[in-house]
Amino acid sequence: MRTLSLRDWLRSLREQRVRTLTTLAGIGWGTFSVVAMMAFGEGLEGIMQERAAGLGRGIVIAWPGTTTRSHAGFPEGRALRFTRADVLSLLDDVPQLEAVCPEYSARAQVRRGELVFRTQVNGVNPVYGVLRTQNVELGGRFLNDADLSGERRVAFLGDKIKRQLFGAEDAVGRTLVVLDTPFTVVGVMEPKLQDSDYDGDDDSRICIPATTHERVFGRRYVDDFLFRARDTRETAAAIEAVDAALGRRVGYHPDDAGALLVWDTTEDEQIRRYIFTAMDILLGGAGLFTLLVGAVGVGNLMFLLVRQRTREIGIQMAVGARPRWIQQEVLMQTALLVTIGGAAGFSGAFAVSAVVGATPLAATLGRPHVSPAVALGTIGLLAAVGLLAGWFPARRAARMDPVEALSS
Amino acid sequence: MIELRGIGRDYASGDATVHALSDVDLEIETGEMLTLLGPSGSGKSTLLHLLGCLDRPTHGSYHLLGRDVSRLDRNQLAAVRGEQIGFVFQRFHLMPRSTALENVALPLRFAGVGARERRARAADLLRRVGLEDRRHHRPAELSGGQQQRVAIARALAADPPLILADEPTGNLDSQVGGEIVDLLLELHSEGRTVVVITHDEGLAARTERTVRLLDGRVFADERVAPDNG
Repeated sequence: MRTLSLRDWLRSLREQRVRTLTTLAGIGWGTFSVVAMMAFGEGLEGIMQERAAGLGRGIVIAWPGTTTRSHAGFPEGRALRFTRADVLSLLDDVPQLEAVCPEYSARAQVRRGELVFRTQVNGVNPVYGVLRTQNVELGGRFLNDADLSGERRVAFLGDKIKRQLFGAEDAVGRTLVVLDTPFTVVGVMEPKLQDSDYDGDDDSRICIPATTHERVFGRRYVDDFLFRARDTRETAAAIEAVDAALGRRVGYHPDDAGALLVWDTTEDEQIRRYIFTAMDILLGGAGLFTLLVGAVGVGNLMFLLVRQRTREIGIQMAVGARPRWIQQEVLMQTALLVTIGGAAGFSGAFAVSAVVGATPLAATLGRPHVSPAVALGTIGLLAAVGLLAGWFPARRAARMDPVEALSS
Repeated sequence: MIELRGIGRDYASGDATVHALSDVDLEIETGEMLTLLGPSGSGKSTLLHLLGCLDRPTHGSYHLLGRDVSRLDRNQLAAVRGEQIGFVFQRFHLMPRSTALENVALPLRFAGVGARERRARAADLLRRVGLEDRRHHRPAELSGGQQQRVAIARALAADPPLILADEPTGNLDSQVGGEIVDLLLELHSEGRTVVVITHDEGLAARTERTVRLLDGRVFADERVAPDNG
């Protein structure tokens, strides 16, 4: 293809300044809608996932319930109780499980010097830190196996209770008192986002070894326990196996729906995924529609320009321009319009995403992120839009009869 | 150079068929200059469009430089126009948004000539038609005579062997028109084949051959010594 007179065409665009600008704005706005909406959706999804991960990734929380049917000589209505050993036996009995952690839960008075707080003090195993996404601040550690077997009086603090007790000071190695028993702080949790909980936020929680908890609080039965399947897609099967294994061990009917109460967080994740897919479709669809309206605008402008330039097209043909070149030329001009509008929309979406990501809004909206997939998809979409908008005007231009065009 | 055999061109007009041209035989030698003369509606414009490969005949054959161009497709016809034919129109038909220089360079663009050479050749041609100081003017800033000179320069840009002029003086006063005819005669004297359409007997008298058309047929084909005194 030979390039025709681009300069000449730009001059005729200038004569249609208002139309050109509104058309460019249409494509720009459409592109902005698609990209920005997808970017914001992705940012929101990211922060929601992060918040959800604050509770734990792919975990199930289980509580002992009350039997609803008689079994093995026991009447119905029996409140079940699980020991730490019952819970830990699951690791051997249920091969689908990756990890299991018993949890004792208590509210207790916590003291450091003059400062006194009532807060959550939980007795757990070392794996708790991983299951509940409790990352450790530099300079500390989570509870370990030696703490557990030695019934050590050590504590791991949530970041908020640490601030309340120690302020900005380093807490590791310092002492605090729980129920008149002194504990040494071994670590502090990194601040995290958490959108759900079952006995208070982790930032106000103090974790101590389960063994120590049993001794200090005089407990024999766990309040709840956590587990995670090796493959989180197999979580439902794992729950069933856990239910059956515990039923055999403590004596309840495997089909008893009241015996074991579970919160399967992987179900929430499933729901979240559905919601976000629906949101992507909705928002993307709205953007797509805007873009299509923009395409109609571009097509219109190109038709107008072709009609306005009928005589010029006739002249070009008379002096040797092939109809095929004219057609390609109109397509190129359309592509140029779409590219300019699209680039403007893209830049706008990038700019707004960057600005929102840098402001406090990011805490609620997340960091909008233009993923390569969205970018490539939008570019592909714009190319399709350009072709669609340019095709018919281009064909009309190429099919002009030079004699008629010259006499217009 | 040009050989028309049994050329006819029909148009559908409503239910009727209009025979704009019927049964035209015409031969034009290389280097000849001739006038196609006829009243309006005689078919001379149709004949010029056919000669200029802007249109295709309904019947008959057209050989241009030994090649049958009557059955070429639209893209091929455009190529023939670009390489073999230079047009000069009554209404000048310059690109209104382009400068004189850009207008003259336009055919070179389609011939694939590079930008620098296009500009140089267009400037030479404008100098030749006496408009070197008007090269950056738009058509609207030029007089009719100047516009027609630009058009002639453009017709010469791709150095075509055949120049077709359609009422080249029709929109000009007699003095300016005379200068344009002088320019066309000059092209003829350089060896180019020039065909001029007109209904102006005076113009016809300045060419050596006149073909008269009436009702779509060749009515007379006269060869006389041109009166260029």
